[in-house]
This record gives sequence, C-alpha cells and structure tokens, in this order.
Amino acid sequence: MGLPRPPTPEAFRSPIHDERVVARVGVWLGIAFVVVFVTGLVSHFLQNPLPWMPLLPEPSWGYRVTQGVHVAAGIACLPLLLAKLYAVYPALFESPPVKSPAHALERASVALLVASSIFQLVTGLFNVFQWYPWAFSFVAVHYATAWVVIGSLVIHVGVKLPIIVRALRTRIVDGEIVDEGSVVPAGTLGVDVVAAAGMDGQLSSVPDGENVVLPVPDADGSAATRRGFLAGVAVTVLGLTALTVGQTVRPLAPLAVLAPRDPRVGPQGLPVNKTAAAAGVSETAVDPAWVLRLEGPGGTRELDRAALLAMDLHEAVLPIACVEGWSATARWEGVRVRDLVAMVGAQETADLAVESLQQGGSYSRSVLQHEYVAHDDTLLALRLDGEDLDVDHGFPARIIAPNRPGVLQTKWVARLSVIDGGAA
Amino acid sequence: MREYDATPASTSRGQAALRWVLWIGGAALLAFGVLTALTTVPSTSQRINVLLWLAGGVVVHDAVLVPLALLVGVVVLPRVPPSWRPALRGGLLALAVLGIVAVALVAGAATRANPSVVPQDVGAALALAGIVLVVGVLVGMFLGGARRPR
Ligand code: HEM
Repeated sequence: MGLPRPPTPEAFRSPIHDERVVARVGVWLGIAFVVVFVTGLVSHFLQNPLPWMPLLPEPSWGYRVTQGVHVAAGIACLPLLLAKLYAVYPALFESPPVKSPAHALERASVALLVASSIFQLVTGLFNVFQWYPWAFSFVAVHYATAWVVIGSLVIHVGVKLPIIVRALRTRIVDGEIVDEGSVVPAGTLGVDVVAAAGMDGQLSSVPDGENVVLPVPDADGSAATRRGFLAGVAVTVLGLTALTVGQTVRPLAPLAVLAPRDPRVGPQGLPVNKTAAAAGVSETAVDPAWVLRLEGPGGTRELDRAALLAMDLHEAVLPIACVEGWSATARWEGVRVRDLVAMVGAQETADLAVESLQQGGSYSRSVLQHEYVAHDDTLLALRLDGEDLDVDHGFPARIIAPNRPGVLQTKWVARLSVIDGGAA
Repeated sequence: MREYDATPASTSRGQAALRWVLWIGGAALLAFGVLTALTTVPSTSQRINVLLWLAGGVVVHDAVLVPLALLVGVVVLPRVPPSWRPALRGGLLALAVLGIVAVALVAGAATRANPSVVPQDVGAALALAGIVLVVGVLVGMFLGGARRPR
C-alpha cells in the first residue's frame, strides 16, 4: 500500500471555494487589517514620538478610541482570517506546487502572509489577556510583524488584483451573488452540461477548479450556500465583538463575558494594570514622609501631600485607556501640572520628566511633553471620583493627561523635573 | 480542466501599472518590517522563538482546525438537510474562534497578576458563550429552513 495522496484542488467541491466568496471575505479582512495597522501605528508614535511630531492632547478620547478599535478589530480578524483560509484552502494543494519563479514568489508571499497573520492575531490576543507564553519582547516583535503582515498583504493584493476586480464586479441581486447565470464548479456537473452552456470558464481560477456560467439560476443551491457562508461569517464577527467590546464600551460591559477586562471592576471601580505590590512600592507609597520633588530652572521645591491638597485643585473627567484595549472614564482631582512647573520657574513649553517611586521597570519613568504640560486637564491627580487615590491607582499622586496611553500616566510620582528649554 | 491560475495576467495597462506599485510598495513595507525585527530583536534565542511561533500557528491551524473542518464537511454536512448547512458551517467557525479565545481566557485567569485581570468566572463565561453559539446555530438552521421554499 502506498501513502495516501494529497487531495487535488478539485476534490473540494463546495461552492464556497469560489473567488467571489474569497474576494468578499478578503475585502473585509483587508479593511480590518488596515484599520488595525493604522491604529497600532498611532499607539506606537504616541509612545515613541518622532522629534518633529506634534502631540495632540485633543480629543481627550482619541487614544481610548484608537486603541479600543485596534483590539476590537484585531479580535474580529480572527473569524475573518479563519473564514478566508477555509474558503481558499483547496488552493494550497495546487499541483505542481511551483510552476515558475514568479509563481514561487507568489506562494512564498502567501505563506508569509498566512504565518505572520496567524502569529499577529494570536499573540495579540494572548497579550491582551496578559498571558505571555513566549520568550521574546511582545511590543518589539508585534511592531515589526505589523509591517511584515501589511507588506505581504499588499504584495498579495497586487498578485491577485485581476481576480479581485473580476470577483467584486459580480452583481448582488436579492442578497445573492449573481452574474449572467448562476455559477457552479465544473467538477459537480457532467461534461455535456458544461459544453451545453457553451461559455467555458469566464469565472475560472477559483481554488476548486473551474467554474462555468450556467443559464439556470442557482441550479443546485450554490448561491444560497455562498450567501449562507458569508452570513455565518458576519454573524460570528458580530457575536464575538458583542461579547468582547464591552471592555471599552461601558454600556456593553455586562455582555463582555469573553473580554479580558471589565471597565467597572477594580479598586474604586477602575481596572488596574500594575499594582503597588507588583511595582514594589507598597510601603514607600503610603509613607507619610512622602514628598513630591520639583526641579526646574528656578530651583527645587519639595511639597508633601497636604501642601499639594492646599493648592488650587482642578477636576478633569478623563479616560484611563490601556494599550491593551480596555478603557474607563473617571473623575480625577488634582493640581494642574503647569501650575507645578511654574513654581520652579519653567514655562509651559517645557517637557517634563516624570519619575515614579517604582525602582526600575520600563514604565517607572516617562516624559510628559509640553503639549500635555500646557493643557488644562493635565493633572497631578490626588483624588479619584471624590476619594483619595487607591494605592493601586498611584497614591499619593499620579499623572493623568488627555489622549494618552495609560502606561505613560505614571503612578506613585516622586519627582517632576523640567527637561530643557523651559527657563522662564 | 483548466488549471488553477495563481498569478493571473493583468486586464489593462493601468491595472498592470497598479500591480507593480503594489508589488514594490509591499516589498518595501515587508523589508522595513524584517529590518526592524533584525534590529529590535537582537538575540538569537529570541529570534528562534519568534520563528517557532510563526510556524506553530500554521501547524496548529493545519493539525487541529483543518481536520475538524474536513470532518464536519465530509461526515456531518452531507447527512443534514441543505438548509441547515450554512448555520452549521457558521457554528463551526464560531466554535474554532471560541476555542482560541477560551485558551486565552483560561490561561489569562490562571496567570492573572491582579484581580481586575479576567475578573469574570471563566467557567460561567464559556458556558454562556457556548449557549449563545448553540442558540445562534439553531436560529440559523430555522431561518435557513424558512427561507428555502421561495
Ligand atoms: C493585522 C493585525 C495587527 C497589526 C497589523 C497590529 C499592529 C500593531 C502596531 C503597529 C502596534 C504598535 C506597536 C508599538 O507600540 O510599537 C500595535 C500595538 C498593540 N497591538 Fe496590535 N496589531 C495587530 C493585531 C492585534 C491584535 C489581534 C491584538 C489583540 C487582540 C493586538 C493588540 C495590541 C496591543 C495590546 C498593542 C499595544 C502593545 C504595547 O504597547 O504594549 N494587536 N499593534
């Protein structure tokens, strides 16, 4: 007995393996990938601004929306990618596997697209659940892979463009994809039917072999099958989104059973990423001897919490928006950062280095750029929703500024120092 | 039978030009990604780990999800009325996605760093999602049957 032979593309008879289905799922997936790529770049450049890039504190909800969309669209890509792979799967059994150098490149680009997409979606998903079962830096690899995914996607669209255009031109009538007649794979019909139809293969190059145009509408229910498949994909995407997006869209929080976060759950009704214990500040944060150290061109000041509370306090209703896609709005109360820098003789055009009580760790220090320093709502927050900050939310004092990744809203602030150019 | 045409010819000069733009642009984006990876992921052990994960995703897809889809396609679908098939196919897709999310949910709950990460009861959450899935499939089967005789 020999080995079982691999199937041929023609062995897959379902009318779903059809360029018109593949192209439509592909358009949805392609749009989602572009949205996810662009929103991911927003996050990247907010955290790693290029020198010439202005930072915009308005709109205050910008980061919340872009990162919420990033993760929601990224999660929606999971069913879209699986559906796409399902529809094109027969094409992977092409024979001969490689026909020409161009064809070899084409197949290599598809292999890279598939591998990097699965990788990106799955590691992204695990990351938002704070599960890191790998041995590399997620952010660095996720960023590089984003370019690989998008690059191989653009190449892929270039290769398939004639098919995509043709497939998308087919009309949709009464909810069904139609053209001159209904289209069925030749493999499911006798040769004489194909001959009788007399219009060989205008819609060929479909993974399961050849399609022929038949004058009989929907002779065997193929159109209904395709329509049903697309509907099933759409319903799955909507259902998955409904059960997860509540981590950032608060009214849907009760539905978000599959989300990693509930925006209502945590100390003071707000989720926490790093706790005081995890940051190693459980004792230093509640030490009554804590003082805020201010350093600027006009000298150095030290203020304890009582002195800060005695200053002109302001309130700002701002979201805390995590890179991981969850967000929640809260009412923060504290001292305007620009009032603090003014006390040490600096102008609003100064960038500010913020240091935490936390020792080490990539987020123990952050830079608050002058655009934020100048803004009315950028606070050294002391209170949250009318109470003293919980120690896990950064007691005795934390930074909160509009339109900014949560990881940069440094907690347990110990020192604010004017970086340069801030002399009054 | 005409063979599967993986690299079709352009239908107009404009289209041919656009395809070249896409190829060159795509190759540039791709090259930037690879160069970025080479500079930001410097250690060999990390690079090997990335490659393992890249291959691993494909292997799991082919070893777990594809056999499941083939099983349903070859064994289940031919034995049920055609009007039920789309809903069952959709259910299969949803089941695969739920399986992946379930892994993340269970692992996230098991390794949670503080109580606000995966705060829900994971068993109840998965049971509820499973019920939603089953109800969705049943509704789809019913609608499929209702739509058929037109
Ligand atoms: C086609 C798919 C995707 C692309 C192209 C993409 C792209 C990006 C990019 C460019 C960044 C910025 C990285 C940086 O700050 O240097 C990013 C960040 C992020 N993405 Fe994605 N992403 C994809 C899928 C996903 C998915 C599916 C999830 C989760 C469900 C996800 C979760 C995240 C998270 C949590 C961050 C923030 C990382 C951090 O700064 O800690 N991504 N993404």
